[in-house]
Amino acid sequence: MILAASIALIVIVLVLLLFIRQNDLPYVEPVSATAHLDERKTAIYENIRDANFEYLMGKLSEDDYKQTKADLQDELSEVNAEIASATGAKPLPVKPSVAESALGASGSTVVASQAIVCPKCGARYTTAMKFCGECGQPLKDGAA
Amino acid sequence: MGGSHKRKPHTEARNLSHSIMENLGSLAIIFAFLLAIYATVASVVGSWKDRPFLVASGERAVYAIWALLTLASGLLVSALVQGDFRLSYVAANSNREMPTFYKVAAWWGGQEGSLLLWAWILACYAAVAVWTNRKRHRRIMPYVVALLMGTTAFFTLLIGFVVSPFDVLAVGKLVTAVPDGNGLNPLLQHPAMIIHPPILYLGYVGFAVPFAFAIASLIKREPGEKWIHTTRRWTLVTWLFQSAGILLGAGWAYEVLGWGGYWGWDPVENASLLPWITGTAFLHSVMMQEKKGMMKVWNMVLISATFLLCIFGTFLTRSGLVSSVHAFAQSDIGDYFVGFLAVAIGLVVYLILDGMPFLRTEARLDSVVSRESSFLFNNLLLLASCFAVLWGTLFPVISEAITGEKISVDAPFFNRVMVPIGLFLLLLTGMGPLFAWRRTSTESLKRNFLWPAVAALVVMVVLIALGVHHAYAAISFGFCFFVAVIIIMEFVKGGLALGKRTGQSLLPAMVELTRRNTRRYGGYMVHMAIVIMFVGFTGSAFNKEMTLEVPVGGTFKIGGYELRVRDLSKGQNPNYMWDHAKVDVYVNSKFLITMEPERRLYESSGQSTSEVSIYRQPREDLYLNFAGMSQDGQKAVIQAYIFPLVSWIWVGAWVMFLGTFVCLVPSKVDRPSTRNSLVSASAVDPSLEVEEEPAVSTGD
Repeated sequence: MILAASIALIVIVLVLLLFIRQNDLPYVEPVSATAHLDERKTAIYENIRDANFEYLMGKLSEDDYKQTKADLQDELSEVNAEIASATGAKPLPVKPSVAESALGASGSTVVASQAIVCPKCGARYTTAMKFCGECGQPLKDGAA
Repeated sequence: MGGSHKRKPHTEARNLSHSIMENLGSLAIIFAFLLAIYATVASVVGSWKDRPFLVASGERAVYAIWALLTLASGLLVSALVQGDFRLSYVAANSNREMPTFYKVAAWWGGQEGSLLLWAWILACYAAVAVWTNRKRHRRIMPYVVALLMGTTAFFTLLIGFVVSPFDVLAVGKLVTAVPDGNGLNPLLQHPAMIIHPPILYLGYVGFAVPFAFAIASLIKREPGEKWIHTTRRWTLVTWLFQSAGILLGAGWAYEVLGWGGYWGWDPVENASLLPWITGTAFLHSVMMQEKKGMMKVWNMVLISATFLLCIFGTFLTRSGLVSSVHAFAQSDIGDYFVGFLAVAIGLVVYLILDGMPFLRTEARLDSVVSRESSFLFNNLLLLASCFAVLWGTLFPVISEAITGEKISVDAPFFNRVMVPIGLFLLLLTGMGPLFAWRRTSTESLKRNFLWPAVAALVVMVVLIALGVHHAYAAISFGFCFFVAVIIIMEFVKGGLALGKRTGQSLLPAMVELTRRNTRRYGGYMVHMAIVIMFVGFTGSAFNKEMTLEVPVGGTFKIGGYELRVRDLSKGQNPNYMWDHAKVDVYVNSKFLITMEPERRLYESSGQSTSEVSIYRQPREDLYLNFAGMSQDGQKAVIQAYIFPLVSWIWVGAWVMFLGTFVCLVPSKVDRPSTRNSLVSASAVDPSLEVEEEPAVSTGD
């Protein structure tokens, strides 16, 4: 009786382990060159949204809010540049950071001549952006 | 001699079924062990050599192991409930008189059964992890399976070959049986103790899953933080079970041990706290990796430490290394645990060191006063507390190894070290969320901290003026007030800001705010729970106690209460004998309540327990323990205690569970705001190209 039960158990398990249909074999997805960068972008957008809300709440001073947002937009630019280089798109021109332009750092004339201006809210950017970080207006082909 | 002994057919059938039971149970465990080895090897080889069949077969083995261990567990529980006293485990942990639910609880009442429970829970978790990820994470899943099954192999090795729950009692070569068992330890015959071990195990074992995912992603150099998203809820649920297990144990200790102590820094209590500390650090630190891509090395170290401390905690309870009320009987399995821990630690250290170039980031801390720094300080403080507890727990072993003398480390050491660390952590709980990323300006600091700090200082000064001269207590109350105000302000300011946009009034806006960001505001609720619990802990600085011999009709006073022993009685039932006292409580000569503490003596084990009587109020608990009769048998020995604010610990526990539950609920995704008006812009002008940004939900 015990022997029969044991044999039955072994047979059931062996069948489960060894008889696997072709459709049930795991498919390993190819490694995406940009999936982790898209995740990074999502996280940065969340951080921008959080910073906006914390400013509205009065938790962040205006200076801290501008600095935080500028830093995040710089990060976003870097990630976009990495995505562009990973997908073989035209590399984005190297421009002074938005943070430098916001704080009036030297080279502002260079910044001003290369500035991209949002048609909706007037925000200025020195790096190519697809969407305005202030109001979300699409900046087609990275320009107004 | 002589004569034939004709056995009745149903006796023969019963013996046969019992015989099948222990043999099938043992076979199931041994087979599970072999399959666990197979699953580990097949998964690794299948991934390495790109053989999908082996990977799939390894995953199928996970389900088979679950089925086998479920069979073994079912057989053991059946033996316990039916009272098959041929099994030595049943004879040691059950008896005929025990109610059925205690017979089931005997599954985890002893060494062998609790190890089977550990293995079964791990098998359940592994099966769920494999099933829910059958179509994703395909690159790392083989290594996840290998790590989980490697751990399963270890535990099935123990219960299959070293400490089997299906060993039979034998005299020579003949299987024998005892007429009745020893029964469950009377201390364990309490509702909280029925569920405390399985809930704690759900926590201990659960950390294996995020650990497996973390190490698997490290081995495969998987870019991104997908494994964190996948395991976030696992980690939170596991942490919740661990917290619940620890708090249930504390609540049980408060009610059962007779002296109102909810935490004694017992080595086994400490062993459950250690992975909770590192797990808490991991839960916070992992947010930095998600949001900023930082602290990857920290997170690998923390989750590995958490898993290893879970194994260590399991080992500590069973090795006889330290003395504890919790400890199982000493056995040889300590050496096996040491071997497993040595291999696991070696593997983890090698993988992390080898993976350092992959884990390192270029991001640096810009300022001490920043959100990043507060996460770092949080990790450092929690690690410091973990080290202090570990040091104190192992010091007797270390001192014996070096000096030959076992020097015990008691509560005063732990309290001296942990109280200041705990207060710093409490402060950080309030301050951390208010710092900005990278650097915080003086204006933001003033805006967020000035009034709460002033209010907290006022509270401290008032308390001192009212006679609270205990320094740590005054500081603790001040910090609790500070953090509570900050958390409430977070909800109120957030509700006002959202209400301005949506037109809602404050309360509905606060609810909507929480629904839109369950992680953050659920987390604030958990922080508030910690504050509430700290209020409860601080009350212990003002405890009162007295022990007296009181005859029937005798009175005594403690705090603002007058107590009179109205009646003393004795009795017995099939399970135990009892001494029972009735004590009337008066305040300002007005009758308040009758309290009835009891002392029990369990006949089968010879052990006595206290059934204390507690009068719970928000301000304090009045706690009576009937310690026994005096030498002359005429007076009751009554231990009376006043524990100020202790009920807030249990209130805080419930708030913690609620807050964690809120964290687990997916956030409501507000599409226009989360996509930064992208979607709404395209809705206005369909000719505009809209890049498909992922929906941003801070809840997942």
